[in-house]
Amino acid sequence: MKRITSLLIVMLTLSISGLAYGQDPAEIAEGAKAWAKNCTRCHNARSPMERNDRDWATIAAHMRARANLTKTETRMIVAYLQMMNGTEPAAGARADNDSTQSNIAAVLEAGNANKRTDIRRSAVSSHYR
Amino acid sequence: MNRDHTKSLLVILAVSVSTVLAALPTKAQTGVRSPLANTVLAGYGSTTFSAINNDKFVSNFTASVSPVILYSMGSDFLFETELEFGLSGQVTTTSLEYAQIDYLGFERVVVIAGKFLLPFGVFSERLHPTWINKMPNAPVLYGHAHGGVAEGSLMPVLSDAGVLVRYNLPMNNEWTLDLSGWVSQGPVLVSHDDEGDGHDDEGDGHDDEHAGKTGASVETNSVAEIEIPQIGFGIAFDDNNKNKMLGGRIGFVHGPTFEMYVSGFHAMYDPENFLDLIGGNLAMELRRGPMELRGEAILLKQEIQTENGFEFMNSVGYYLQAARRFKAFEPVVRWGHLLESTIMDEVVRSEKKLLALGLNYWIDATIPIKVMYEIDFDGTDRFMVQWAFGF
Ligand code: HEC
Repeated sequence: MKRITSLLIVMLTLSISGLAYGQDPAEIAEGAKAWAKNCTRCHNARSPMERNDRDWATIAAHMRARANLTKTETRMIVAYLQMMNGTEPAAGARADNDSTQSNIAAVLEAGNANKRTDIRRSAVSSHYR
Repeated sequence: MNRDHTKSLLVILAVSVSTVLAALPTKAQTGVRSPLANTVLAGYGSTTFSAINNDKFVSNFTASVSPVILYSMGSDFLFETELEFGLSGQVTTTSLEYAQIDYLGFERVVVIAGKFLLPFGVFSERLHPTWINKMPNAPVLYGHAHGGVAEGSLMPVLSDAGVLVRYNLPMNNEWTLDLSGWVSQGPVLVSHDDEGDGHDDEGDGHDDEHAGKTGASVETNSVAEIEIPQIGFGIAFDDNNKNKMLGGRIGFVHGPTFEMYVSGFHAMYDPENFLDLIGGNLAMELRRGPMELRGEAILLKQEIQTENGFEFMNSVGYYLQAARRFKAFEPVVRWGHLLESTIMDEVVRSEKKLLALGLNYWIDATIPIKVMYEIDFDGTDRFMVQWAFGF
């Protein structure tokens, strides 16, 4: 009983801070797909770690005008990038496009954005070597 | 529930609530206009070494930087500009690559006004930045691409002032139609006096680069007594005529594996509104994992006044490029071909064939070192090394 109560409490905390984070998990999953579909079309994938949340919103608008994306697609990509830039990579880590490409699939497979940390971990480790 | 639990519940609730509160102020901060806070600095720079052996061996180093400034005004407006600083001959050149306001309030439509890169093909609009282009110079079709270009191209990287509307039309889950249409100032007739110094000292194409002129008449200005007028693109800011350039592009996009674009434009380029300039473009891209194939073809019809009346000079060119990533290395092959330009069956420009073999090393996703050897089948070979940096 004690265990279950603690578990409930932890879940409650997570969901409340999740709300505070302001991201809809389904939107992030869609954002990951839209990112994989569009953000490697013209140039190598840029690491989500490059920019903070506000910069990504502006840069995504720039890319929307360039790539003719929809408003919704762009919003979802921004949500995804803003989630992905939250984890620091290992010191001296560098973006590696090859592994980015091959692991976009892994990110998408992870699919269920409720497992935020899982996606984040697999994606981040795939972005950097 | 026992006391312990109630306590920990309270503690955890307190933590949750403070997390929420901590997150709130960032969302609630409004009403303070801070241009710097809404500005993003991006762009790219490069250093290029280029060598040719044309009777005597000529080599040169050159560098350029192109800062991009983005300023977002709420979520619906974006101002974006790119300046370009380069070295050419004895001077530092500056140019305004683009300066545009984008309206992003609609779901599927983007409206752009200002000076923008023209959606004619894809190289001008998307591929010319040195950290994106997989070669140190532009394909034979284009005459402006940071750090060098083969002489005798069809047109510069196209950027012009006007209005551009884009429409994203989904076909199904996989395919999207990417539609663009624009009206802009259009090209002008360039008189022979305002041509810069008219030659290209280092053999790197810089003279054409900064004036934005087409190389349509570089080789011969007069063959069989036909004067071929030179055309300047994107430099007509007090336009020479009331006619504007009208253009559009239809793209079939299956991201990220396949894209095909058909584009066209029409304009008059002389002050009297007589002489037509018509351009057509077919571009294609294919991507499979680490492989990328792309190509672009241009047909340019320039109307010219001759003794017998008005005639079209037809110019056709295309390029094909293949690249494959092997971890950080990327070999690239590019074939470029400008066919003979003719007017009344008279050859006014000879053909040009270029085969470029390159090897890139990607230090990072935006930092390539590119080494290239370009064989010119009718002229002088070129060796180039370029270090580019996108930021
Ligand atoms: C239609 C082609 C195209 C697509 C698709 C595209 N980009 Fe870009 N991107 C560009 C070009 C071109 C530049 C260089 C802009 C310049 O220097 O003027 C660029 C620049 C950038 C930069 C540098 C900062 C800036 O704004 O110039 C980032 C970061 C970036 N892209 C991220 C993305 C992301 C994320 C996506 C997916 C939403 C994306 N790109 C999709 C063409 C594209």
